[in-house]
Amino acid sequence: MIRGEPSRGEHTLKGIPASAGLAIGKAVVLNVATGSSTPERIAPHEVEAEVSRFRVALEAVVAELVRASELARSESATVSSIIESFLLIVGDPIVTQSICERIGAGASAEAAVIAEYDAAKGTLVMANDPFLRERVQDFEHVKERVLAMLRNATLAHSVASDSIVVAGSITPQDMLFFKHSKTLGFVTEVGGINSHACILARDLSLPAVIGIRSATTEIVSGQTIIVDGFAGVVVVDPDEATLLEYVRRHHELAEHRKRLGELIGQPSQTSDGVGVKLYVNVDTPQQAVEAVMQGADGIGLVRTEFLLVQQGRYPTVEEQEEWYREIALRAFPLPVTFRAFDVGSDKFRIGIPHHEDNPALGLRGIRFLLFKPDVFEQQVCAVLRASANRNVRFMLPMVSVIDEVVQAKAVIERCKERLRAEGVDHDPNMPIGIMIETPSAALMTESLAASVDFMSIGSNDLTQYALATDRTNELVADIYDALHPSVLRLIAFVVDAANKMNKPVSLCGELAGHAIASEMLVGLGLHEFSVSPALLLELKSRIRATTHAACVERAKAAVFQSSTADVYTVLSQGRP
Amino acid sequence: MTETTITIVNRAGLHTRPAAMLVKLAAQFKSEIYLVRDGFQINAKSIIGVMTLAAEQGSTLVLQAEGPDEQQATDAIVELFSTGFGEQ
Repeated sequence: MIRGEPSRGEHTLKGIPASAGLAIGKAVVLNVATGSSTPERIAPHEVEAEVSRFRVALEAVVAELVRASELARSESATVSSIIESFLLIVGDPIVTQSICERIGAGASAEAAVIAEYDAAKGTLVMANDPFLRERVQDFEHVKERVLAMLRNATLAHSVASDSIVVAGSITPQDMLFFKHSKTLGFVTEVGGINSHACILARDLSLPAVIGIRSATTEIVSGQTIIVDGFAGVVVVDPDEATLLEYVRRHHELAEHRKRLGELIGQPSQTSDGVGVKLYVNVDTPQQAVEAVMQGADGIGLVRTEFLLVQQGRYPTVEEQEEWYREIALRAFPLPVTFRAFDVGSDKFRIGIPHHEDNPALGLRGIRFLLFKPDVFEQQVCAVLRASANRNVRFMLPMVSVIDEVVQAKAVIERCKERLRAEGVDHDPNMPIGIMIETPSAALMTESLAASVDFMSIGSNDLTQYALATDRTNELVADIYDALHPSVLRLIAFVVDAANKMNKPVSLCGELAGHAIASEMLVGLGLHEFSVSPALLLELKSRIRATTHAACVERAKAAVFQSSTADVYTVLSQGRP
Repeated sequence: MTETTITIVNRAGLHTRPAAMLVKLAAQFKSEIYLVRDGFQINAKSIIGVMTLAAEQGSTLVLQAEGPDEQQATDAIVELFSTGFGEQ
């Protein structure tokens, strides 16, 4: 195994924060890189033993997946269906037969497995259908599992209970196993913050940092490491002072979480009485209940793409209506904002006619919906049907020009007419909003505001487009930062324009939950936020601990800086 | 050997879920079962094969079955396709 020179003494690796929290523990480095020490060819008399070695490994992978699928069933329907598809791939009799034939012809089990799955991947990469092309990742996962098993690297067994897993990438089923073995946190080299594994890490409240390119070579098993899922850094081999500092923070965090529970039911306002509305982002009806229990002012964002990813297709009007209605009912009388399918880019791609070289700049969000009016109309009708209790709002993603708003509103009006004609109860005045997540929409806020009822700043995409940095690409992770002054100035501009037009504006990206950003954002004039349920009380506690004047000071100091680092410096001043 | 022409009627085409249903059904029969599209033949018992067919709504396939239970296999698979994989 090739290893870089393990660095001596404390050093810090910067990555992308994928799941908030702190973990301190011993690293377990998993290296399942393909094609390392095993021979490519075997002798004829070894064939029989090699075939049986392969079959044993295959059965072990199937057993592991079956167990994972049982665990997943109670934890997450999405993960469960992903694992089902892994099971079908690993159980493919034609592939198994073909691998055995390759071994019979003198290939080692590892070489045969790599050759066969790579051939299958090759066929899929050529497919016309983008959804199929994305299944390539599934083949890669299955291949890695079989190879890992062949090397007796049963991941779940190699991980002790107080360890932090460091790996090239982590699959959703690994994550479930690790959770059961009480793993403390994760560090990976690749993977986007919206990969299945990261979404699961956040659901399970396991701290994770991703996109550290050299993680499995820079970190050695047994080393003490600190995963700071807030800042997106990993401290390797911390010296005593750093370790003590993090132990203190870790302890404080635990105490803090206990105290947070007492904030439910307390008003969300600064100590000098400026009120802030706190909403949550949800993906499922279950989370809607959690939101209500945490005392949220409503649901600021329902990412309806979740439904697509879960089903692997566009659901019918009836299926959508049932799902929307359930969320709206569970949150009632609080308002719920459904965002139209944000298809495209790094997300769900069914229906996109061909491969795009630049999908983040391509047919995504509202562009896709106007391109596929049948999909859009079905969703609008389903949301309208779920609006009968008058607590539903509807939001358009990825708006970049006003024509998109005009066209979308025409579709919505058509759908209302149809429902009126059919005598279906719905909210004829359902508020329509837009996401402000492109620099063009930000700069045109005033014009756009006149056509809509509310706006929500999507800081993740706004950052990606303002800094021209793919947010899922670890090669440029160090440029992507929502605290860059360019992003803050765009936000300040949007808030001013919205206030001038007297239209409500909220912020619903990850920035809203960023510990050092909250005061500054309130100071910029934002009085509505939407964050993941786990962050709601954190945010409330920060707002209650400050004054409006202090917020304004922070905002003024931050927007005039010239780099992200300077913004961090001024926002960290006067903090423990 | 039986040979039957079938048309994909479900809206999503032969995506993961329908492909999985087809493969599970085909695996219950002893016969060799193949699907042919535009001269490209795949084994219906292979999920990878069926997925790489990338058959969409409206496309026409030829179902070939050969073996002791070829007629039962053909009937069952034709039935699965004609009901649109229970999608509607």
